[in-house]
Amino acid sequence: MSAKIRVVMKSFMSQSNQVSGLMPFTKKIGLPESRALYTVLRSPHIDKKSREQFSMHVKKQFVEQTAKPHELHRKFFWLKRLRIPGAQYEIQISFKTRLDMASLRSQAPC
Amino acid sequence: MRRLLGHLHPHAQSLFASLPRKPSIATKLPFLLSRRLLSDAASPPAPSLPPPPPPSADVTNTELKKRLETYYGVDEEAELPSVAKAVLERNLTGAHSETDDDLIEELRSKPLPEVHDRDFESDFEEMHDTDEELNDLYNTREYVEKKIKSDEFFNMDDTKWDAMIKEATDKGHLTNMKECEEILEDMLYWDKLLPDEIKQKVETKFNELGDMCERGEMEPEQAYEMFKEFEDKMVAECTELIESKMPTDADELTESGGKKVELDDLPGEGPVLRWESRIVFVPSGDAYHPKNRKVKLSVTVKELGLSRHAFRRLREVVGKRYNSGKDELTIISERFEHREENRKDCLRTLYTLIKDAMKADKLVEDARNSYVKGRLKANPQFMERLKRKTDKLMAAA
Repeated sequence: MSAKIRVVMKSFMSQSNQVSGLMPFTKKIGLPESRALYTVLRSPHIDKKSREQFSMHVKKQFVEQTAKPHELHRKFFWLKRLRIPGAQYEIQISFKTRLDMASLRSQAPC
Repeated sequence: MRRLLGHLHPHAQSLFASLPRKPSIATKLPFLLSRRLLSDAASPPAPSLPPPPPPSADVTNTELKKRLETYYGVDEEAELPSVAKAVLERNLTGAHSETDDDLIEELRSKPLPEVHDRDFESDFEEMHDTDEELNDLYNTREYVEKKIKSDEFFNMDDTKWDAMIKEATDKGHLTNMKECEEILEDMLYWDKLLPDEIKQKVETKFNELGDMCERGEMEPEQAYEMFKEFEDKMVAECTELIESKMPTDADELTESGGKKVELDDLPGEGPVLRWESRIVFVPSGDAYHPKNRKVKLSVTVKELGLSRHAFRRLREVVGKRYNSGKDELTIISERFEHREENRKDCLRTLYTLIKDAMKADKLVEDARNSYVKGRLKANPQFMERLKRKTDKLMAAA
């Protein structure tokens, strides 16, 4: 393939069910969940041993969609209008073009 | 009495204020003058008695109330002057000064007949719509998601869009745009509608007929009719040409079908540039993310066709951007605000690098020449021989 569309989603809740519904014909890879742990003292003064733990879990989902160069514009058009509540998604677009070497050589001084 | 007028209407006060304060004197004066003239002309010897006071009209309470009711009955203020006149006349006579206070109190306690207060509370429910109350707030997120997704236009994609357009076209709400597009394309490329052969034939015929008209051999009307017949013939010929071309169009379709398979192979020749860009959509919607402007360009150095020295120079200039394992040069740009500007910047950088690398050949040649010259200059035998040869040449000249 000369073009690819990859989507990386991050959210606090699992999005695997929504993805299959929203973007058909895609491969899915589950990325490891990242979490941040916080320990906070309960009391504002003394009582150092009394604490409370919090954690923030970020779940990630990697989706790859096949595409052709002439389809990229249209697919990106509709991907921009995709709305998944409570999720941030990052679209990575890879495609190929060719470098015009003749004009470069004509410009280069010999 | 002023209070009475104010009670009647807000504008009555200004009406009362604009009137003169003592109209009785002004009204009495011409009457006296006219009486004197009459008495002098009629009977001069008769003794002049003091004139009796003029009779003034008195408005009773009953008549005033009747006028007020008439004023209330009529929507417009047509009856207001009569009421004001009645009030003024009563004030001038001064006979009802004792009963006016009672009348004012009676009228004040009486409610105005035409005032209708609106019932605001009854309209509230009709004007404002509120959502149904949620008893359990634990599942608010699911409730909101369900409500959002129930909208059929929520997550629009190309398949939904195409189906919608097709349905609208079938029902007649929308016109089929393909015909319009074809017409516009024909208008854009009107030069290519007819083959060149047909154009030349038509032009030749037109010129011939024009020349014959100028020479006087044929009348313009007759020439026009002949040209018209020729046009019809050309149209028929063009139609036959199009019909004959149809099977070749079918062949072209199959060829284009073959071409579609080769679409993965990039058209043209030259090194392959691999582009990569990222677009981040955050949950809040339209927020901007710095990754949106970053562009990455990779190219295989072998495909650039550089010479050995040019390759070495490029490698030295580029440094860590070159991956020798993959023979890959990577250029990243996030200098400008927009992604497309950064893409141009990547290309510009690549062009500059290649041009700079190509200079290496000339530099190597110059270096080699200077090295050889240095070595020769350092050799005394060569220099002596060169000097002798030079002197000999100068002597011969």
